Amino acid sequence: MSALLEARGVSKAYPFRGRSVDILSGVDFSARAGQLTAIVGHSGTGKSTLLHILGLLTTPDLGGVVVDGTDTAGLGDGRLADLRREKLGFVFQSYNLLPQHSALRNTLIPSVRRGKEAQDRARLLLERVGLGERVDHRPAQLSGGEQQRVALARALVNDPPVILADEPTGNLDGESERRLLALLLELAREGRAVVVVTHNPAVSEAADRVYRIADGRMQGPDEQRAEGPDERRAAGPDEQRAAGPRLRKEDSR
Amino acid sequence: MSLWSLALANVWSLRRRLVGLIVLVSAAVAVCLGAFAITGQAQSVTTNDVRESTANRSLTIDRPEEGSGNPLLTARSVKELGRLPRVESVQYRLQASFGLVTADGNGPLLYATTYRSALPPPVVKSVRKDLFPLREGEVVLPSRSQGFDLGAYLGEKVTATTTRFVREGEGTGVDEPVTVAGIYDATWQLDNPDAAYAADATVVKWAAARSGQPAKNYLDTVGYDQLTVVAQRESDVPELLRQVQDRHYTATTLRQVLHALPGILELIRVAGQALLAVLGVLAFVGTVTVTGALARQRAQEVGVLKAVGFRTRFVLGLLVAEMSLVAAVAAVLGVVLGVGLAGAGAAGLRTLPEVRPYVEQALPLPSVSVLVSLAAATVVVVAAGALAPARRAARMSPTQAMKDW
Repeated sequence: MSALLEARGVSKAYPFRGRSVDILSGVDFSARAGQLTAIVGHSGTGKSTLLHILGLLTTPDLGGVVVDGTDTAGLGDGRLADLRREKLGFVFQSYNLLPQHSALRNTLIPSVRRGKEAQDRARLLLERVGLGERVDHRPAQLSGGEQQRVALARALVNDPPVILADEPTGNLDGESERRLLALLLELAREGRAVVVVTHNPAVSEAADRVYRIADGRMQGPDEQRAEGPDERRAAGPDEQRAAGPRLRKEDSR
Repeated sequence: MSLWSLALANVWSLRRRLVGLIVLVSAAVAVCLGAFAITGQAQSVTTNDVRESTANRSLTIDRPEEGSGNPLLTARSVKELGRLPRVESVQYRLQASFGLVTADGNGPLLYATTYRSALPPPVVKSVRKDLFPLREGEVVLPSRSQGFDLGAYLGEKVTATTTRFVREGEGTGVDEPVTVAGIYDATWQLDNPDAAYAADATVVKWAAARSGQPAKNYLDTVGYDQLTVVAQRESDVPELLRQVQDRHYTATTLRQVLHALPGILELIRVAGQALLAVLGVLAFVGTVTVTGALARQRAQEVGVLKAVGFRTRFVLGLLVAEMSLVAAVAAVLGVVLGVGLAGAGAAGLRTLPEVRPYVEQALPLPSVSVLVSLAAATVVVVAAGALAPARRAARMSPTQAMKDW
C-alpha cells in the first residue's frame, strides 16, 4: 500500500534557556492511503511538533517530508502553502474556526473552487458530517462536537489525500468523540491517509497503525489490523477518493 | 474563496470593531469636502464672473495717430465692426475737456465722457434710480478729483467751461450750466481719473466746438476717441482680435486679473487644505493603529488561513483589501456628510452680506473630479496605513500565529 505522507530522519530542536533541546531525533514516519494512523505519546514528547512538520507548518532541522510523492525539501513558502491547500486537510484540537463566519463560510474559506460549485460542495460536506441544518450557524452557536465536524468539513473541502488531526477528540464528550472517530475511519476507508495525534485510547485502538513517540524517538508502527478487511480499502485509494464526498447522512454514521 | 469576497465578508462581520475607523475617516472626508465644496463654488463664481465679465471679453481700439493711415473710429466703423461674427456689441467713447467751476470759483479740469453700457462706472449716489442714459445738460462726477471733494454737488447746478475753437492754437471759453446727476466711485479709472460722464450729444457738441468742426459731421470727420468691441464669449477674443487687426485697427485686449476671495472664504479654503493634511495624517495613523490591533486580535485567524494553505501574499492582500473596503465605505459616507456639511456651511455663510454672492447655490456640490480624487486619496491613505501592520501579521508563521492549536 502506497505512503501518501512520509517523514525521513526528521530531527528538530528548540532553544531553551540558552541551550538546545532535542524534540525529535531521526524520526521516520509514513502514513498510507486507506489507513488511520495514530501517533501516541505523553505530553511534551514531540507529537505536535511532528504533526507541524508533517503538515509543512514547521521545517525540520534535519531530514525531510514527502507529501503524495512531492519532496518538500527546499520548497519556498508559497509552494508549501499550495501543498497544504491541495494535499493536506487540518483538524485542530481547538477547532480554529473563524468566529465571525458561519459554518458554511468556514468550510468554504480554503476552497479552490469558486461560486456555486464551491457552495454546493461545502453544503454536501456539512450534510455529510451531520450539520446540513446548521450551515448558517456561527461557531459560538455550535457545540464543541459540531465545531469539530465543521473543521473536518473544512479540511475536506479541497478533497485532500491526507488528513492531519491534532487531538481531535480532546475537547469532545463521549457521543461527539464516537461520531468524529467514525467519520475519520470512514475518510480513511475512502482511501485517504488519516493521521491522528492522540492521547485517547479509543482513537489509538481504532487506528490501523500506531506510532509511539517517547523522548523524541519513534517506536513502531504497530500494525493493529490486517490490510484489506474493508471492501472500500480493496478498491484502492485513488478510485475511492475520486468518488468524492458521500452524500447520504446514513452513510456517514 | 476569492480575496475580495472573503474581505467583504470579514468587513461585514467585523463592522462593530471598524466603526471607529469609519467614523474617523468619514469625518475627515466630510470636513475636507465641505470646505472644498464651499470655497470651490466661491472660486468658481469668482472665476466665471471675471472670465465672462465684459472687461475680459472686450477689445479696445484707440483713435489712430495722425498720418498713420489707420482708419478713423467713425460711426461707419461702429457699424462695420458690429457686423463681425462673435461680436456682442460695439461701444464708443468720446471725451472732451471742460473746467468745472464750483461756488467759490475754483474747480478741477475734467473730461466729459460718453457712457458705455458695457463698462458702466460704479455710481454711488444719484438723483434717480435709472441714471443712464443721461439727459442733455447732466453730468456724473467722480467723488473726488484733483483734491476737490465733488460728492457734495449732487443735484446741484454747476458751471462747465468749455473751449470754442477760434483759430489754430487759439480758443475762447464758453460757460454752460450743467446739473450733477450722479457721483461715481473715484477709484474707477477705466476712462482715466478725471472722467465726468455726460450725454452723448453734450460730449459731441463740446468736442466739435473745441475742434472747430460742425457737430453734425463730427463723428464722420473726426470720429470717436476709442471703440470697445465686446465679444460674445471670453474664448472668442483672440479670433476677434485677429479680425479687427486685419482691418488695420489698433486693437488691444483688456484682461482683468482674478479678484481675491473674501477673507472668510480664503480662510475656509486654507483651513480645508490644512485639514486635509492633518486629517490625512490622522486617518493614516488611525488605520495603522486599528489594523495593528485587529491583526493582533486576529493572529490566530491569520495562522489558520496560512495553515489551510493561503500564501503570505494572499493574507497581506486580504488585510489591505479589508481596510480598502472600510476606506471606500468611509469615503461614501464622508461624501454624503460632506455635501450636507457644505450645504449647512453655505447656509450659514449666506447670512454674511460680504460672502453671500459667492455662495448663492442652495447646495454647493463639488466637481466629480474633486469627489473621485478625494475618495481615491482616502482609499490610498488608508491602504497605505494598513500595509505595515498587515505585512507584519501576514509574515507570521502559522504555528507562531496559532500558538494554542
